Amino acid sequence: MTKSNDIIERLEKQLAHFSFDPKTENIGTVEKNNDGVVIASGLSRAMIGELVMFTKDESGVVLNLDEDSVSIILLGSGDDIKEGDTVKTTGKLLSIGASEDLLGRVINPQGVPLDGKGKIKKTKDMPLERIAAGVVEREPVNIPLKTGVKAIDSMIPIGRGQRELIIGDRGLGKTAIAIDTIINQKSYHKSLKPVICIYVAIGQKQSTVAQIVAKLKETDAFSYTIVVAANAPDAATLQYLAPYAGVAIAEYFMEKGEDVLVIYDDLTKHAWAYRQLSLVLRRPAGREAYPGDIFYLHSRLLERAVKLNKKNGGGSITALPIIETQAGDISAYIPTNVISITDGQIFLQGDLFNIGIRPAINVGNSVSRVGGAAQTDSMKSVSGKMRLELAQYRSLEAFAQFGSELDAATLSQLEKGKRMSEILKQPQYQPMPESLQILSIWAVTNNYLDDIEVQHVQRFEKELHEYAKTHAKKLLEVLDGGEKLNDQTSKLLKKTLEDFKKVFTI
Amino acid sequence: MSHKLIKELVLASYTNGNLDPEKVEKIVRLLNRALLKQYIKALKNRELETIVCVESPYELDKRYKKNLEDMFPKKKIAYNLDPTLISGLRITQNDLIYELSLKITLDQILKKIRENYD
Repeated sequence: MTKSNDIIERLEKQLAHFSFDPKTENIGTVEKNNDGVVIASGLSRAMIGELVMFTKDESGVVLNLDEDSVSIILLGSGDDIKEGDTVKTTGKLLSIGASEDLLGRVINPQGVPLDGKGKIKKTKDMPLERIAAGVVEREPVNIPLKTGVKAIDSMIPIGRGQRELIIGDRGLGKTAIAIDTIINQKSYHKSLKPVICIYVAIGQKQSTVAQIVAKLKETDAFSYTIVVAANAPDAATLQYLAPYAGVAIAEYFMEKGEDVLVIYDDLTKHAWAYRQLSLVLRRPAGREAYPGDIFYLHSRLLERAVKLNKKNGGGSITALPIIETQAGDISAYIPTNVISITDGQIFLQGDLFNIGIRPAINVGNSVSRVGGAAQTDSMKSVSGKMRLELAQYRSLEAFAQFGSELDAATLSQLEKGKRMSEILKQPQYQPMPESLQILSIWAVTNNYLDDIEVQHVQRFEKELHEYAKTHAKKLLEVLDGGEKLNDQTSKLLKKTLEDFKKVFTI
Repeated sequence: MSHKLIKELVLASYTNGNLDPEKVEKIVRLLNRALLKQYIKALKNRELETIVCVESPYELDKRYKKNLEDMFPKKKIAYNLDPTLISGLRITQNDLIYELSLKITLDQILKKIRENYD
């Protein structure tokens, strides 16, 4: 059969199902068009969050219902909308077309491709605003989401379905941790259940987003990633909608039983965009001029991160929101809001960054409230005491700076702490498999690095990994299995390290 | 002056369902420019509520007109011709439009095809 016959047959099938509905339209008249917000009279049947259409293909979303007017936020520039123009309701809530074709694409919050690769076929319309899954549909977080970052996977573990905040000043590597996490999911695509990644860029420079996309392509991580971008030059409306578009796409995959990771980079700019819209809408301003529902803005978004039980498909959405602080102040309005919403935070500190500790994670202020349950037994058994020892080292380090004489025990604790800090350093875009992470941590916590000079620790680690890859494949397989370290594995670890130390030369 | 009061003034401007010029003149004298603007807008809205606009591709016969008058009692019906509708009617009542024309059906079919095919 020819292609044209195929098309005609499909058309006929569709016509058979076509039902004619007498259309009722609710219309209104534009009264004002100010800074991306239109005030229209009429529209007596408009609903909050409803999509409305203007003439000349412009569209908007109803955000305020007043006694005899409605306020509409515009999705486009709205330059052509004039006083007296007609506006129509559509009876639809704002939604985004989702399908597998979105993987490896860059889109805006309306689903319009930004990568110049042509139209994206949509399978299902997913509403941007939706009530999060209830208690009955959920189950506790119990599967790890490995970031490939030693400091996080060992001390602040993240589980699939968790909401973990990444917080810190600008330029400390918040986005780097998020990108490393995306890159690390590549390894899962070979064996375990894959994780689909969605990176939502809010108010970012276009060059930054381009760099991230290039890095993801370079590391073969783009094939399972979707980038939703509402960049700095885009309208505040698009920046406000971007995270909701991201989570709507995530829900499409989650409904199919997939595990999804969504990164919101960053929610500070999201709050700014919403503040801008709220002020133009003349909503009453509260603290720092944010509107009264700024908490709800983020809580309803992050509540959609979920681990569904098997009855409901078993999918999950893990959220990694990012918040930018000013001068390390985590007690500001938006940071405290998001800290209280999430299940933990990874706090990056400028002082640590400046002395060369990268990722600059402040272990004392960072916490994962639910991830521990998802951590593998093998990692749990080696990293248990490290967090405490590292925190003790940081406080002792401050005292040691006074130069007073220290006892032998304190000195040895300080020396060990230095090596621990050193071993937790990790270059950007180089996530590490769990087996190698365990090997490094086991070595440092079991004093195998005590006789290695601090400046040689990183070389020691690198060469140890190379050695293990060639001489201890079986050990690495056992460690990757995730089971608790037994005597046999401990013996193997001990033997590998002793053998390596014989060949390691300074 | 509140929005509620403007509405009350609009209601007071009518006598037996018709706009009373004497009452309007009295009210207008009391209002400043901003309030007058609100008053005119409210009057326009009130007038729109009383009118039903029926568009058809050809002149409707008396039987249809009678049916429409029964459907919208106490409303003034304005009949307009719009040949682009092909067949059927378009009824506009205040901010509601009832699309019952062949044109809208064809438009819906076209839209559906465009959504499904590149």
